[in-house]
Amino acid sequence: MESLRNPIILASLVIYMVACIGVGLWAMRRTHSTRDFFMAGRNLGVFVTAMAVFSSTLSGFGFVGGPGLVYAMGMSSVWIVISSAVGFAISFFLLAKRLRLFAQARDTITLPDAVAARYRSETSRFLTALAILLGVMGYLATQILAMAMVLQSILIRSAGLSDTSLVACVAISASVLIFYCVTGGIIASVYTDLVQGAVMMVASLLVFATALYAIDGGAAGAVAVLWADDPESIGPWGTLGMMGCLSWYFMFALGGVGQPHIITKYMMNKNVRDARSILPLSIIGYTVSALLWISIGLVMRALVLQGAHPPLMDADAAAPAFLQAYAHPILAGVAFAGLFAAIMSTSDAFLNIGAAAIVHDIPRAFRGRSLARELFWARIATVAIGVAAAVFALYSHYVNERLVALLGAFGWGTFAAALVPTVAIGFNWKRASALAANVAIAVSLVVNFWIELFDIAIPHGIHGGTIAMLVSIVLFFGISLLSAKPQLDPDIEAVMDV
Amino acid sequence: MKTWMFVFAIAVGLAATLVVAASWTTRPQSQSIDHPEFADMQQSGSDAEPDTTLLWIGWSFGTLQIAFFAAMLALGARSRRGLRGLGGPLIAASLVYLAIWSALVLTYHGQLNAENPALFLGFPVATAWMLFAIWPCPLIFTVYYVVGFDRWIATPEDLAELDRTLKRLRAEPEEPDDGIQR
Repeated sequence: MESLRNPIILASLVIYMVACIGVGLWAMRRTHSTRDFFMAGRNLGVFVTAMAVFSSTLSGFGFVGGPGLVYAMGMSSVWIVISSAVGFAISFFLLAKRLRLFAQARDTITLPDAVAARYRSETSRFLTALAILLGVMGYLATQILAMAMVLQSILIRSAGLSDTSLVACVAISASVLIFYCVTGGIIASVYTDLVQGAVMMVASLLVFATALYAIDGGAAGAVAVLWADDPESIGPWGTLGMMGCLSWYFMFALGGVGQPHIITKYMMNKNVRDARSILPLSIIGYTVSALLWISIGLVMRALVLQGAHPPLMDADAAAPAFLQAYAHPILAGVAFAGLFAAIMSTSDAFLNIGAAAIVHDIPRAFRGRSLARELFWARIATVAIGVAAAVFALYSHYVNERLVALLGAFGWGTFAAALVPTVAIGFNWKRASALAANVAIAVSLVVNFWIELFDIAIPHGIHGGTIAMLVSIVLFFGISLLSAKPQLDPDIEAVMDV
Repeated sequence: MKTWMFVFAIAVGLAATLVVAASWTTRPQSQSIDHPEFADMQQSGSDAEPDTTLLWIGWSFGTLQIAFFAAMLALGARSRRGLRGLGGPLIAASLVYLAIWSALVLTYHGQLNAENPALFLGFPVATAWMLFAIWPCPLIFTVYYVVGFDRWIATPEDLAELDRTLKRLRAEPEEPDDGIQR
């Protein structure tokens, strides 16, 4: 069986990718309008929406970067995982009802649609769309690159494929992603999320069990090794320290409310009351899947410290290295498919909102209407964004690593800083003004860019995104209070009264 | 005091706490130095002297976060009829959350420089508080959402009234200007 390890892993990936393409073709027959392409016809069931919400939340960052962070820093990044319990609740309390009712009142199909309706401002629509577009480019590039690197690490171990280039791996990964997003739009995206979410949960549970047996003494054995090397690494703050961990906890708990690829899904379910079932299902899915994050990171750190595994040259190699060395070949196949699923399920959501920003939101902000033949152009925009992100990923890898890091800063933290005040607070507080929303978005982009561009080191490991988010929240309140009381449209006011 | 005032006041408090923390002296080599033996792995540093002032600044930051989360939950649940009875349960759950958070910090303070820490389910007790109490504790808010949706989040009467309002507004003739600033 061990001799078949790589063929099994490769076969799992091929089956997974063929399944994604199949879902794309199936979804194409159900996609007749931009409402279908961007909103799934606002007709999704509870289970599908819940799986889409959680699998979009847990990206490649969770399945590759997460174990890497635990390997590098001990318990520190676990604060990101545990923030999910309060984060999902805050997100649903603030937005699940409100966004679904906005969609009902105004037939909104994107987040910038809802922002424009709430603030009666096309400038707010444009700035929201711009923030989304910047985030999409940076995020997709890093995700496609991560996918390609994992694929390459598998292919180069296979007979006859050992000289597969990174460019070829980027082309394969991006092609599958773009294909099912172009053909089936968000319908393909959410139904592949259903498959991807299931794969992630099964893989995580099995990997968690495997990790406990990979080291002598199980969890207690790993803890003993880590404690002997550095007691802080297994303490509640890991090696990062208390303030750094708490800044992550705050940013990831609250920041979920500002993630457009996640909260847009609150507009897609059939009924507003579905939210009460979607919330617990999303939390269960995320929690089960996050077991992989913690278990692989801790066990790999302990195995390397006790000399049972060669040191890793790159912390992000923790998950692939563990799967290759310790997981049963069939489990490794499922887990690598889960790893791809984690990356693709978030990427497809970003591809969809990026296309919406180009063909729907930005034209509306300037011309008052979307492009003619919007569905056709949505598909063209999806291809364009996917190809641009793939090229950008290769450019960043071979030419200028700094560039993608800069746009990568427009990830979770920037969305959080830009959209938490504008969307989470502004959709629940009638006094919030359009000017305040515009300033909050603009300032958050500038602050995040500035921290990244000048490599500002904040003491005690405090995350720059947390600072940007607090600055934008305080500014948002201050400017709203100094502005004239805004006039709301009667239907929007009625929604905000519920 | 209105809910948004709480949110605003606590946000200012959080920002102030971060300013205090950022201006507090960083001890050399106190956190996250490169591991002496393994590349891409970090250690907590050689300065074992605990900084208890920073610990209490951190406790304040965490406490304000819990208050902020509760205020945001209240902001989201609030309708034109107020919190419809959710205020009490929210405060109760937040106090439990705060008590667990304080227990974590106190336990951590107690285990600083310990040779052999007490373990719970295989982890040092402070870490166990984090994994087995801080993590699941906010699930009580999810329980409120699921169980009390019709009472606290969106009552059937409110949703029916919204439906009627939207139908009435759609039936009215459209104004020529949509009021959106371009």
